[in-house]
Amino acid sequence: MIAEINQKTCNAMLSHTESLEDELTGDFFGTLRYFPYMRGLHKILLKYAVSYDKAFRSAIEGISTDEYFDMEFWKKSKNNYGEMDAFLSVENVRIGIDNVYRCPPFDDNAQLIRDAKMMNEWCETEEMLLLLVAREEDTRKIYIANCRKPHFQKVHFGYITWENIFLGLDLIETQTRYEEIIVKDLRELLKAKGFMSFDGFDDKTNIDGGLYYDFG
Amino acid sequence: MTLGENLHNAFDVVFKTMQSIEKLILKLQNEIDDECYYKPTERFLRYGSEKDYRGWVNWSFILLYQRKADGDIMGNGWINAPVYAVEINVDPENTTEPIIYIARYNFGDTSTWASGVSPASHNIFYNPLHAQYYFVEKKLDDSTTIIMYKDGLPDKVKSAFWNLKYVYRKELKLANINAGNYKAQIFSAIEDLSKLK
Repeated sequence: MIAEINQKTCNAMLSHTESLEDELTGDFFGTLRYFPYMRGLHKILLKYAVSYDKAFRSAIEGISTDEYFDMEFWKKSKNNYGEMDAFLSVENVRIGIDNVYRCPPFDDNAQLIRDAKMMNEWCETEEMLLLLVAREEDTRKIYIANCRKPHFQKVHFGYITWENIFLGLDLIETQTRYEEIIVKDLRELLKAKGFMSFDGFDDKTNIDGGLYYDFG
Repeated sequence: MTLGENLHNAFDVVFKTMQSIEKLILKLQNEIDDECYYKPTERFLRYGSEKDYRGWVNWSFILLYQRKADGDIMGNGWINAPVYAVEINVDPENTTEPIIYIARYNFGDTSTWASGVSPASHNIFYNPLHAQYYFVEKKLDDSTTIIMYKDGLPDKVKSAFWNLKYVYRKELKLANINAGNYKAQIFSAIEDLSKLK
C-alpha cells in the first residue's frame, strides 16, 4: 500500500507516470471501442461527464448515431503541440480525451493549452470537446483552475472522474455473454487501480477478536 | 456475527497487535547488544500520510543498525559500512501474514553523509527492500533474496537512494517472534547477512 502512495513522489523522477497513463488509456478506452458508441461510452458520458459549459453537455446529448465511431490513440500534432491520449470522432462531434493518472501534470495550464490547440488543428466545422479524465481528488481542482481560460472559448471543456467511469460501467448495455465479459474485465481493471468510491463497509470477513499478535 | 461486531473485533485485534509491536520495537531499540550493534538513529522510520487512507495506519516500521565490527563510528554518526534494517511489516497487500524483514543495504561510502535519518526517509529503505519501481529482486537461495536496480536507470535515481548499490534480504514471520526468541532470531539473521559478499 505504501508502494501505491510512494509512487506519487517517486514518479517525479522518471516518466514512469506517462507509461502508466498510456497503459490505462489503451486498456480502458481501447476496450470500450468494441462497443457501439450509443450502448457503451455514450452511456457513461451522458450520466457522468461534467461541464460548466452548456455547449459541452448539449453536444454529448445531441449524439444519437447508430453508425461506427472512430477512436484514435496518441494522435500526434503536426504542429508539435504533442499528443492527445484519445481522439473520438462521432457524428459531427470530436472529443479529445486527456487522461491524467497518478500525479496531476505539474503545469496544468500548459498541457491543457496544448490540448485545445490540437483540437483546433484537427477540427474545422465540428463541435470540439475536450474531456479531462482523472481521479476524483484531482479532476475538479484542475478543471476549475482552467475552465474559464480563453483557450476554452471554442473548445468546450469538461471532465469525468475515473471513479464515476467505474460506476458508469454498470450503465453499459450488454447484449452478448462476450460483452458481459468485456465489461467485467474493465471493472476489474479499474478496481485494481483503486477507482471505487465509497460503497458501504465490507462485512464478508469474520474476525476472531481473540487472535491478535502477542509479543509476550 | 454482525457487521458492527466484526468491525469491533477487527479494530481490537489491530489495536492489541500494535501494542505488541510497540513492545517489540522498544526491545529492539533498548535491549540490543551494545558491544556489537550501533544505532545510527534512535527513531524508527515509518510512513504516514493524512491525504490518503493507506497512510492513516502505520504498516511498516523500520529500525536501523550498523555492526561495530565493521568499523569505527565517524564524526557524522555513521560507520563506513553496510546499514542493516529490521522492518516490521503488517501491510496486508504485502504478504499473506505480517513479516519481519531483515536486510543489509550496501551503500558504499557513507563518510559524506549527514548525521541521522529523518522518519520521512522511510521510502529510501522501503522501496529497495520491497523491490518497488526502480528495483528488481532475485532469490539467492532458499532464505536470501538480492535486490538490485532495474537496467538503464539514470544516475539521479541512484543518488536519490543515497547511492545504494544493492540489498540482501531475509524474512521471519512476525507470529513466530516473541520476547523469548526475538534477539536470537533477528540478530542471527543480521550476522548471516554480514557474511555475504
